Amino acid sequence: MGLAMALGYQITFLVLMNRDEVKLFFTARQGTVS
Amino acid sequence: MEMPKNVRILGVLNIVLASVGIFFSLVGVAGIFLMKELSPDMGKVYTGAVLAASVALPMVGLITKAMMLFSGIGLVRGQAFGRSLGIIWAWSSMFYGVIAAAINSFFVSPAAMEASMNNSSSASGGAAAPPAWVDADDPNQFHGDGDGDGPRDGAGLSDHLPGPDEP
Repeated sequence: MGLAMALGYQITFLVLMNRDEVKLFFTARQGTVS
Repeated sequence: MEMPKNVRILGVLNIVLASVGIFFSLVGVAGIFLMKELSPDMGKVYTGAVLAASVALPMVGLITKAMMLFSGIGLVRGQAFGRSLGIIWAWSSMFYGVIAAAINSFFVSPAAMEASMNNSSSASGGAAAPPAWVDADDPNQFHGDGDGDGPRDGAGLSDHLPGPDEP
């Protein structure tokens, strides 16, 4: 049960972190920093 | 550029869940040593490989939880390392979770169960011993004459009650 919940959260995290808007946001932030 | 909402939400969730996880990992490991200290009988279950696995697994888990915490901090602050560390955390944590669950179910739990069975049968010598207050040499210990004044003293219950013709 706990393992399933943890896996669910981790997969959700990976999916959301790979969305274009998120990638774009961090790329833009990195661009302004460097 | 405005931070996407899900980045902030996941950042906060990572910080909260990692903090709770770190706290309970430490409490769990401390609990094992406290149990060994307070209840040597139950503590006997946690020896050798079972103890090593029960302590090592949460300690390795602490590394993934620390990664989760720092990725959460990075995400909330909108720093790129939060995303990359978070992705590393998610993959390593999935891998660790499956391995740890397998070790727990196929190795730690059966070994602890076996140790606990051996422990309970050897503690009582294989059969339940009578309590210390039982005097095995006294045949009347549990056979009073029913009048409530202790073992058979010759006076039965009827000797204590007034007869029908007595006032």
